[in-house]
Formats: sequence, structure tokens, C-alpha cells
Amino acid sequence: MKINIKNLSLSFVALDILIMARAIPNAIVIFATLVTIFSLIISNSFWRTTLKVTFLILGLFLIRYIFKTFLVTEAGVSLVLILSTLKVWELDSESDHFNMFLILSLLESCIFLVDPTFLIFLLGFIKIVFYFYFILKIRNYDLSQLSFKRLFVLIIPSLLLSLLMFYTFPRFTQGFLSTGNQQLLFSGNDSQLNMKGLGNLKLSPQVVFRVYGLDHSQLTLPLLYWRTNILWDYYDEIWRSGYINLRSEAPLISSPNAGYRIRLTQDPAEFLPTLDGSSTILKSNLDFQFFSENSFRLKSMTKLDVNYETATNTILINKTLTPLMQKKGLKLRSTAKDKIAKMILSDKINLNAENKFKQVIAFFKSRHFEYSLSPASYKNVEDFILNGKTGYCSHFAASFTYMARAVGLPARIVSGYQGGEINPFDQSVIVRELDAHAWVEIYFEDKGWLRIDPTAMVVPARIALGSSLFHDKLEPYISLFYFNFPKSLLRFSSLDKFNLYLDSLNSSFNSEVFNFDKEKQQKVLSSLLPANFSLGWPFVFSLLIFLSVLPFLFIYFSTKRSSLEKRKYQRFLKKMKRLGLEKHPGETALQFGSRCGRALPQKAAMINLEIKSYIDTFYL
Amino acid sequence: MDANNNHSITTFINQAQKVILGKEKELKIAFCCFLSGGHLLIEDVPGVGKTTFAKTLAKLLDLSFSRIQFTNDLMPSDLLGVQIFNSTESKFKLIPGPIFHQFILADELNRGTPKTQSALLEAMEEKQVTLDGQTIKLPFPFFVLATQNPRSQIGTHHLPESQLDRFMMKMKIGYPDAAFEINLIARDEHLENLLQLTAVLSPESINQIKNEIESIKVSDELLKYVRRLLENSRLHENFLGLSPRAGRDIVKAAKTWAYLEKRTYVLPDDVQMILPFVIAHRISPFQSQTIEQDQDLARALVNLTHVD
Amino acid sequence: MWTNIFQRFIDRILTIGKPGQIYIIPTFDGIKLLALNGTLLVIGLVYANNFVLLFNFILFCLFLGSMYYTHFNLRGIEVISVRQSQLHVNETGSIKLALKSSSELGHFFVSCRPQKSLYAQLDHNFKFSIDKSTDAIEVDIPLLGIKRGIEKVETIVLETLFPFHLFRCFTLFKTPLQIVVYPERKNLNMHSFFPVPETSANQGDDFVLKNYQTGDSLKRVHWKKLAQSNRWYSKSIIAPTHTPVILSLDETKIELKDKGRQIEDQLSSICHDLYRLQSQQIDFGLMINGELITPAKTTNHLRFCLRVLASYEN
Repeated sequence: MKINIKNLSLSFVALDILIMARAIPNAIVIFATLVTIFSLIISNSFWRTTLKVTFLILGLFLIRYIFKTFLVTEAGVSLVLILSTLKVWELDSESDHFNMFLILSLLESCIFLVDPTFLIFLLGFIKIVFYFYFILKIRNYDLSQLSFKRLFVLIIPSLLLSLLMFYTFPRFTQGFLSTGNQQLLFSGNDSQLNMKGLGNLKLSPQVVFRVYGLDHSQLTLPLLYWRTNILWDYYDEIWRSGYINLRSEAPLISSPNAGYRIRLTQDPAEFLPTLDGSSTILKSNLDFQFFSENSFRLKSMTKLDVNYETATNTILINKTLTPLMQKKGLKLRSTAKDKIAKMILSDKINLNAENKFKQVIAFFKSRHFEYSLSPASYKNVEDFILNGKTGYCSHFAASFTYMARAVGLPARIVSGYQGGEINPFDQSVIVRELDAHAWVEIYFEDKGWLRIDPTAMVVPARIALGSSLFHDKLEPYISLFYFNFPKSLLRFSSLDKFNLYLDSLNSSFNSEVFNFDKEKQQKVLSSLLPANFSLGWPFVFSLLIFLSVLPFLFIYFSTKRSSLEKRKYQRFLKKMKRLGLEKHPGETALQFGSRCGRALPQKAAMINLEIKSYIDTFYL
Repeated sequence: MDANNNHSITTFINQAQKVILGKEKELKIAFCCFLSGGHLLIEDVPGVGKTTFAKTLAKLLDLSFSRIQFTNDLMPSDLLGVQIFNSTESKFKLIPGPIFHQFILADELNRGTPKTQSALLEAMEEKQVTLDGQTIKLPFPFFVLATQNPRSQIGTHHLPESQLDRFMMKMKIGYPDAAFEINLIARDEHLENLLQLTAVLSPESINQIKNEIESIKVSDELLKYVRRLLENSRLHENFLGLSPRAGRDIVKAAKTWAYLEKRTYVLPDDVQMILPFVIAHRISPFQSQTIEQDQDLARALVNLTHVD
Repeated sequence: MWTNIFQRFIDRILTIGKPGQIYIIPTFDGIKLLALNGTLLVIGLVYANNFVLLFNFILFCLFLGSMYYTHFNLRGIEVISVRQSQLHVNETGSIKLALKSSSELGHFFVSCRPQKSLYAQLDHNFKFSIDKSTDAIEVDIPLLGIKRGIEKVETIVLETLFPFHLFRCFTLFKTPLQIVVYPERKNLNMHSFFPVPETSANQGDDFVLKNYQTGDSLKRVHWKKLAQSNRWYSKSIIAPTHTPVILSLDETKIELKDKGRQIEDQLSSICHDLYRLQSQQIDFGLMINGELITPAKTTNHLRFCLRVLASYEN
């Protein structure tokens, strides 16, 4: 099949739009798609130019309107996307295609900015190489002339040395631009919970974070709770985290029973997930704040990968209850509060905390809630408590907290993740977005903040099986055009394994290459170099290696190697040349031999021997 | 190498030198040309002994000799012979022309008409003559020694390149050295010497020598060298490109020369030795050049070409 | 614009550079790629994105690597000979270039830029690839004759952009090449010619025998042969050897008005006749500016005569 280079450019642009669609505002994606489609339809050159200019201006306005500034990453990425789609309008000559190549390279780099994973990188790289290959083709090069040996000499050292340069290139900074306080939300790390806004639960397999060095043999996997954020405040019928006035010093954990390293890959990250229990963060690549509610928040929201080491005592329960916490834990501004409290306590008075709690559980159970991924819509928490039927963890946690507070128990919503998947290839635990969970903590004076999972009361299987298995069981079919296909048909164990393998590859590449930052580089280089060396030197050094190794390789592979005897003869000629006797091209061995013999009588025997052996090998 | 043959070759050169004074190299070259089965073209001024040279060779080799003087009015039939009707036997009888000899001296070849020249050259190439539809084989060995005057005059017909190519070698005899020349002008005894000469090589031993020459080893390296010579001649503007036939002649002559040098293998030295003679008439793009200029060209080609 | 700069650059180094040196400069595409490299470096550093940096370094290393690759295309290249094929005005010919390389990896897609010529139009973007397996490679660069004359070509530029078009590598060779453009071949019959008187007349039987065919004239029948063999032969006369002809420029036909063009026309006419005479196997000579070139009919003689015509100046 003959591939048209214009179609190739188009398909690459379309593919890039698809990849970016998740990260870029929909308006930009739609705009870029429109521009591409228009470029295919309009052939009149006047209209092309007019529309191109119009689209460019429109695009700029659109970006300005959506992002308010041109300086955030997304705005830049959007601009490149629009530029590349506009470039599709003029793909006629060779140089146009080369310019398209440059723009596509820039676009690929932009994809790395919004989606920094190894697979995307590999895909982008392959795409660019493929595109370049086609540019060479339209330049009328007979590519069969590109010898494999030469390409090997060219590409392998280039790749190796670009890695070397990558490692030695001095990193000045962690990035000059901060991505700012963008409120891009996702379920496990929500900073607010609104019963009205809860829609269908999306089971995205996107990896949120990976945990390494976890001694998983001690823990039953489905029972792992990863806490991130605490939702305290309830007003305007929305649960919000009220962390600001709970800031405190990070505690010292006396006897941690789990030590692990977590890498957050989802962006943007705000709260750091830790195992439920009492945790302390030992090391982190970014600054964070600790709150006495046992949560850790990054000082600024970031799109960078976050790495930190944590120690947790999973049994030790947090007993901190400041007066502020008590006040927050009991605060419930709601008109239906008393009515619901009455329903729970059913006119029993002077109950102690434990009995109150039992009453709440009894009431919660009596409601016979059902678990559903697509629950009905509710006006607010009270609506759910009084009339609700179907819901998921957020509904249950919010309503349980409401009920506990209504009867006077200090309670809070904990959002986080539950469960995870072990990757046997690098012994890590992968926690995905579909593992997102919410539960409740209630304070008892003697025991501290106890974890209560109301979801477990509704569907114990959700906790026992883990999220993905449970949801598979819950909805074993995929519907497609009114037909239901069992999910089990689509699941192959080998495919799963391959997926996990790719995942481990991706994560190891991410940790080795992608997260090679300033500190890491300084650590590696300072261990290799003498103390008072500037960090720029290794870079210069590696560049010099590159500049000298390649010519050497080329010389090595390009010299014509002659036979052993011929080389011996050539050595003899070189020796004679050093003695001042150079052989003319037209001179035969015998003539040269006799000339040398006359000039150097003392060496005549050696010369004759050399000449004789040469003649014997080649002419006899 | 047969010691007997070896001896007779030495005798051949020594005997010939009795008549042709001080021209050992030329004799050897001419002998080499004969042994290689080629034909020789001698270009020289009159009076340097071209005819004596040819006669000496013929005598020593025990070959039947004939001399054809080329003129404007020499017709092919004068050369090849005619069929005559014999009335007594009422049959046609072939009266063979002078070409039916083993050793032919074609004197002043360039004075003949192109038609006659062609007739001779065809006979040289094919070693047979066609007369009135009748093909007659020429005797073996068949050796043509042609001479021509160096100065082109009006009324002479230059041989075209394609016909020159049929001669294996072109050489000049040149004036004798001072010592020999005194000898030559003082006594007129070389004619007597010529008459006294006896054959040194019989046709059988010539055959034997030719067989031995065939077995001389030519290495790949040498063939590559010869090819480089041909290639360089074709690449440069100063030369007229050499034909593959020239290449074949070079190798043949080099083999014979190696044999004369009493070696069983060919060296580049042999090639360089015979090269000026083999390619002198093929290398020059301009016909008006003298043979010395042509041989200089050949040497330039040698100097230009890498031996190894 | 770029080619102009390139030309000026060549002119500059022609005066200062030694022949045989290899020069290498990035092409406009190469500079664009370098600019992209800079941009990506800034993006990578600003957003601290290691993928962008890595991608950038790979591009950069391939860029540098292609510099060596391009350079090695020309390394060890030698021009063995430069010749020019026969070229007339308004006809096409070629410059034959023989190249040799000492590098095993060979050279690819070299293009050749001879100097600009007044007399012939050269294909300045002529490209050819060199097969690494042969020792010497001969290339024909097409030429179109514009004007009669002889011109010395001092340098030939060999350049290559292979493989990635990011670098332009070139080297200059001093050549002894002369571009010789012969006059146009036009059958105008404007020149004068005179035969050379021969010393002796042709004698002998200037005929060949052919099998008699019905329709052959009876006068042509070889009666003697008929008596001998009882077979019919007819004589076919071959033309007697032609007397050599000397062509010369007819001064009398030239009027003062429009002299140059008339001379050109006469030269064209002589040129045409030279070819005619040669194909008819008639010896021809030339009489130009009072100098006589003795008649002959070989190809080399023809070349010599044509060269004289090409270099004619009055």
C-alpha cells in the first residue's frame, strides 16, 4: 500500500489530538479537529489563506478565553496543537514536510508534558522516526543504499550517548513555572464532597500511585486503606476539608510496622496517600504540611511526580482530639438534624457514646441501602438518609458521618483508596483510580478515631474482594449496541500479565529516567566525581566522548581491510617510507626492492626477503 | 623449462646479433612477439636495417620468407594470388600470392591502398585467405612483420585504429650505437653473415616453446594490475582507451617475456617491459605522433597505475 | 537565497582553501532542527520534563551523528579523471567524471557542481549515487552546448546531503578540464573546398563480384568469369578512392556587415561537412588562418579538426 505523506501527517495529528483529548479542554480539542477537517475540504487557495489566518486568531482568542493566560502548560500545548493542525493546510513541498516534522516533534514533546509515561514516549518516538523516514523517502533517496552497518554505527552510539548526555546535563531547577492552584478534581483525592454532584461512579484504570518496598506478606491486600484527605466541614450541603487550622508538627511514630516508598503518578496531586494508621513521612522530593488529623498535604499543587518514603504503624490509632477538632467533628448546620437524630435514637436518652454508635449502625442497617455504580440523584445528605436507596461509598460515608454528628458523636469523612493490585514483576502495589474509596472515622474517648466503613456494612464483598473484582461481579457484562458481552471473555490472564509487565516497565523507566531530577543527579554525580568538581563538566565530558567516539567508529568501519600478507607488505612500505624511500605508484616490487637495496646496502637482505615473500604470495 | 629450448633461445639471440649489431632488446621484443603468436609493426626511417632485421629472424627461425613491397598500385590479387585456367588440364589452378609464406615482410604498409591493407590484415587476423569463394589456410607459424614510414605524406594511407589493433606490437629499430655504427659503416660484412646463418629453432621446437609459454602462471593480482592499466587508459583524456584485445595481448606478451626471462610466473615487471611496445600504436589519440611520443604515453600510463 | 550564500562561501574558500579539503556546514533544515533543539531544551528545563529533555538529546545526537555520516560520504574520495564528450552547439553532451574512493562504506548521492560556464549549460543539481562495490565509478554530467569556444573549468565541487539532509558536505577538486564546444552542425554549404591532386591515378579492377540477379545490366556481366565457371556474376563497381579534400573558410564570401555571424555560419557549415566526409571515408584536411592540417580520416583527426574550429578566432 502506498502511503501518502500528507495522509500520514494528518493521521499523526489526529492521533495526537486523541491522546491529548483527556488533558486539554474539550473546546480546544473540538476546535483543532474542526480545523483539520476544514483543511481537507477547502482547496481554493484564497479561502485557505483567509481561513487559516482567521482560525489562527480565533484559536489564540480561544486559548486566552479558556486559560486566562498564555503562560500555563495547557495553553502552550493547545497552541502547538492548533499550529500543527493549521500546518496541515500547506503540505506541498519537501520543506513543508520538514517543517511539519519539526512541529510534530514539538507536539510530541507537548504530549510528554501532559502525559509523561514511558509508553507515550515510546509511541511518540516511533511516530517521529516513522515520519522522518517518509521525509527521506520523498527526498528521492534510495534508502536501500543506507547500509545497515552505517546505520548501526550512527544510531546505537547516538542513542547511548544521548542517554549519557541526558544524565549529565546539568539540571538547574525543578521547573521555573508552577502549575498553580488548579482545582482539577478526582475521586480519591477530592477536597470536597457534594451529594448533589455525585453522579455515576467511573471505574478508570488510571494508576494513581505505586507503592514499593511494602512487606505485603503481612497485610491482606483488600483490607489496605490508603488515606489521603479528611472532610470536616459541612455547610451549604457540601463536605469540605478544613485542614488549614489543624496544621501541626509531623509526629514521631514509635514502632512502625510498615515502611514503604510511594510514587504518585496521577496529576495534580494535593494530598499524599499513606496507609491508614499513624504515619510519618521520612523523605519527600517536595515540601508538604502535616495535619493533626493524620493527613499530609503538599505545600503547592503540582503536576510533577511525587516521591516519598513513609513509615506507618497500622495498628496505632490516632487519639488526637483538640477542642477545635471536637468542635469541627460535631458541627452540623442542618435543619433536618434534630428530626434525623430523633429517628436514630428513637426517643432513647442519656445513652453513652457506644450505645449511640450502636443505634446509628442499627438505623443505617435498617435503611437497607443498595450498592450501585449509577445511583439515583439526591438533593442533599438528608434526602439520601430519609429517602435514599442506591448509592456508593461516598453516599454511605457522607450519610453515616451526618448521622453520627446528629447524635453527638465527633465524626469525619476520610477519602482515599482501598485495595490495590500487586505487580509481581517489580513487587509493587498499583493503586488505581477505581480503587478510590471513602469511609468514616468516629472518635471514642477511650479508643480514639476509629475507622468505620459503612460501605462494608452494605456490601462486605466490596472490601473483601477489592474494587476491580467486586465491580466485575457487580456488572459482569459489557453492553455494546444493546448486546451484553461477558467481561470474562475479554479477560485473558496472559494479557493481564503482559499489562502488568508493561506497567512495571513503565514505572521503572519513570523512576530511572523520568524522575531523574536535580537532587538525584547531584547525588549520582557527586558520588562519581571528586568533591570540588562543577556539575557542568560531566556534560562537557560526555559531549566530547560523543564527538570523538563516532568518528572513530566511522573510521574503523570504513577502512578497507586488506589481506594479512598485503598488510605485511604495506607495513614494509611504511617502514621504508620512514627511512626516506617512498614507493611510486607505478613502481613494481622488484624495482622498489632494488632501489631500496642500493640506498640502504646494510638492509639489503631484509629488503630482499620482504620482496621475495611478497612476490611468492601474490605472483607465484 | 626445457634446457634444450633454453639453450636455443640464447643461441638465437647471439646468432642474430652477428647480423644486427647492438639491438639485443629489439631482437628479444620481436622474438617475444613471434612466440606470442602476434604480428609486429616496425615504424622507422629507411636504412636502419628493417629488411635485414626481418630476414635474420626468418633465417634463424627456419621459416619460408617473402617480402611484399606495398605501393599505390598493389592490388589484393597481387598479394593473395589468382586462379588461372589451365587449358591442358582444363582446370583452374591457384597461383598463390606472396602471402602464402610463414614469414612475411610487408614493407611500407602505409603506402598501400586501404583495400590491399585490409586484405593483408584480414589474412593476419583469420590466418586464412578466401579466393573466389575458396578458403585456403595459411601456413603455420604465420608471422607478419610490417614496416611503415613515420612521416605521413600525402598519398599514404594511415591504418585506422581498428586495423592497427591487429598488430600485437609496434616498435622502432632506431639508429645503432656509436661503437656498432662504426663497425657497420667500416665493414659491409653483415650480408655475408646473414647468408652464413643457419636455423636455430625448428618448427617443432617452436611449438614446444609455445606450449611451455602457455603453462606460465598468471596470478590474479597480475590480472588485476592489467585491468587497472586498461581502466586508467580509458579514464584519462590523454589516452585512447585500450580494448580488451589489447589487454589479452599484454598478458600474452608478458607471459612470453617471463618465459624469455626464464621464470615460470609473470611479474608486473614483465608487463611494464612489454607494455610500451604492445600499446604504442593503440594508446595515442593523435595519429601524427611519433613512436617515441607514443611510448612516452605508455610509460605515463605505467607511472600512473598502482602496481599493488 | 541560500544557494547564493553558498556560492559566495565557495568563492571565498576557493581563494583561501586548499583543494581536496572537505568542508561541512549545516543546511537550512539543519539550522531549523537546531532551533527546535533549543526550544525543546527550554521547554524541558522550564517544565522540568525529562521526557522532553531525553527526546531533545536523542534528536541532537542524531543531528551530530548525521554530521559525521555526511562527512564520511566524501572522505577518501578521489577524482581520477575528468573528460568531456563531443559537444556541439545546441546539442547535448556530458562531462565524464571518474571517481574513486578509499572508504569501504562508499559514498552516496553525491552531486556535482562544476563551475558556471559561458559556453555550455551544466546541470548544477546533477545527482548520482556511487556503488561501493566497484573500484572506479564513471559519471556523466549532462551538458548542453550554448556557444562555440573553449573554456577552462578549474574546479569541480562534489557535495552530498545524504542521509538526513541536515548537513551539506562538499569538497573542491582542481581539474585540468576544458569544456570544448564545437560549432553547430548546419548544412549551409557556405565554405570553400578544394581537392588535393593525387600523384598517381588509381588503377586495377575496382569492382567486386556479385551473384547475377535478373535486372542487372548486361554491360555489368563478368563474361570472363562466365567462361571460367559457367556461372553468372555481375560486376559491382566500387567508387575509386576519393581524393582528399581540404576545407577552408571562404574569406571572399564574408561581407563586412554582420561578420561574426557569417563566420559562425561558415564554421557550422565546415563542421557539418567534416562529419559528412568522415562518414564517406574521404580524407579531409583543414585550411584555417593560413595553416594547413594534413588530410586524414580517423576519428581522432576529426576531433582535432573540430577543436581547431572551436578555438577559431579572427
